[in-house]
Amino acid sequence: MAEPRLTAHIRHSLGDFILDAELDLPATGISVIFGPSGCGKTSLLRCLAGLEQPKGQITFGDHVWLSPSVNLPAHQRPIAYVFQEASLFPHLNVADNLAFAERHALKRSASSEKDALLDLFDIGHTLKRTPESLSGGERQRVAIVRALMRQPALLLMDEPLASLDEGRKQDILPYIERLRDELNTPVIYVTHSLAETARLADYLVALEQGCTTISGPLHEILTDQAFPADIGSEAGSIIEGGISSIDSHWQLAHVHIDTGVSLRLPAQGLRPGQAVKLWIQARDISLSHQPESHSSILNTLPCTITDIRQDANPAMCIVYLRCGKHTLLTRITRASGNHLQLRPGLSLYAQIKAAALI
Amino acid sequence: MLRMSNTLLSPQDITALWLTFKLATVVTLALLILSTPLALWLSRGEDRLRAVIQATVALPLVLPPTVLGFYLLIAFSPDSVAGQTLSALGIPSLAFSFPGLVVASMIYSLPFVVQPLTNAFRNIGQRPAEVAATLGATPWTTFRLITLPLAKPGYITAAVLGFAHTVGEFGVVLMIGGNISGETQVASVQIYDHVEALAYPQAHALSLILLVFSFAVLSLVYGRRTTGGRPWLNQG
Repeated sequence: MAEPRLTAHIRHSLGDFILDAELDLPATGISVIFGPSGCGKTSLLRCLAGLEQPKGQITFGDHVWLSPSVNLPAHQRPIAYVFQEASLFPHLNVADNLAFAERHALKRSASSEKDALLDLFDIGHTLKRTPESLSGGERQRVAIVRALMRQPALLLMDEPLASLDEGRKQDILPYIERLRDELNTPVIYVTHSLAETARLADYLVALEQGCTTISGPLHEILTDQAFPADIGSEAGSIIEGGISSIDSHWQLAHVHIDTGVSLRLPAQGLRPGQAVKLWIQARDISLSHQPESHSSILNTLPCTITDIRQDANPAMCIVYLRCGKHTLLTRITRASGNHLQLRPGLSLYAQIKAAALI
Repeated sequence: MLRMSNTLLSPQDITALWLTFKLATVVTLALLILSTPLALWLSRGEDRLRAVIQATVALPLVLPPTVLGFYLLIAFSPDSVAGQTLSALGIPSLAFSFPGLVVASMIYSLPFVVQPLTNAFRNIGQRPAEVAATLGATPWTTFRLITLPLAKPGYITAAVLGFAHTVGEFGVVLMIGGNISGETQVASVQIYDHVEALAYPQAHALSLILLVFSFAVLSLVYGRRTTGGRPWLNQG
């Protein structure tokens, strides 16, 4: 049986801005719609939800949501939507907010399922409280559970972490991962954060100035040179590897990323043989002609420049590096590039200041 | 001509007060229902058509009541287009009748009901209704369970102001209702009659009742405003 898909071709004008997007997504896992602020990703999600009235067509599995002759209103689409701000109903307590969604659930859910959801998102203790009295993180978790209570066939999430500070984001991300791993609800997740994308996406759609530019499975896209160039300070790459050994004296794990190439990371919580994904941001790599030994930087990798591109910021450029089979990005000033006489083909050393496990 | 009686309020005064109360109640209820869709629509954007309609709704705020009353009197007359349409439908003329007073008062008090409701809906914003729709609620359920309870402070303000303003009506009533006891003679007109007849104690009694009533009503409105409902945006 072919997997159900969400396909859409949407044209919608909002003042001067024109959204003209094409989507063809698998209706499984987390699909991330990624793009800079103002690229129209929220509008696209609102079109899918039926909150905007675009022209075009939207089909989910066998069901037509939008066509020249059909325009299913939002409340008849089998979706739920998590907004950027939690948007809980302020006159209802948490339990009643959840009950409102349950009242319109697409399937009956057993009370054990409900309890499991409350446990999964750790909000069981908030049921009698008003939205006002919750912390930002709790509110957003309640909003996610409320959306799930509807038992949607598709969950739409619009930057659900954007209104939270960094610590809170880290608190909620694991819950969204659990959603993917344990609940089997397909999610379309809109974000401008490459870190969130790298961590959550199975499938990725990049949106630029209202048009979809690239789409495909995450691991295929991230190695595509065309992808990360435009995201400036957020640029980075994902590297997959395995823990080859743990140095118990210095408490460092050796992460094998390619033949003869490994990185060392704090070993806390890691086991030998474990597969890991690393997120290395362009701003955390510096370049040097010598393998710098008089430095506090632990990881230095030999690599070759494959490309140098202009950044959106005129003072900066993005340098593409090949390191074994991996592509790394570094974002440096054009002045340093000139000083080091960087050019494609040049071999040099990348010093990695930080690599995050994702 | 009124005569002095033993009690301060004559039966006619009580009839006038009762009529005033009945008129204000009917007008307020009708306005709350009719203004809701209008206020919902006005709250959902800012374009030229909405600006024109809003200006029209606000007209009774600035027009002398006699101007409004004069045009209504003409519209109510059996010779007018409106009057002829009504009589063709078998509805008696509205001039000098209680139903006529209701229609005139609704126009006169319209801005006092539409504006608080529009503000309330605007403060709530589109978001709660959008959330409800994406959770599968029909527009009617959304209105009943979400918009209405959130707009409750606006409805209370609208009801109180609409009621009080209708009680305070004078010029329009005099123009189109005249002074028929039990049909169109409301308290404000009755006070005027008392003063004309130099029956100051009676005028005092009725005036004091209206003064206390108005003060109590406004205290209620302003008291609510400080302790009032929670605006939607506060929850971040």
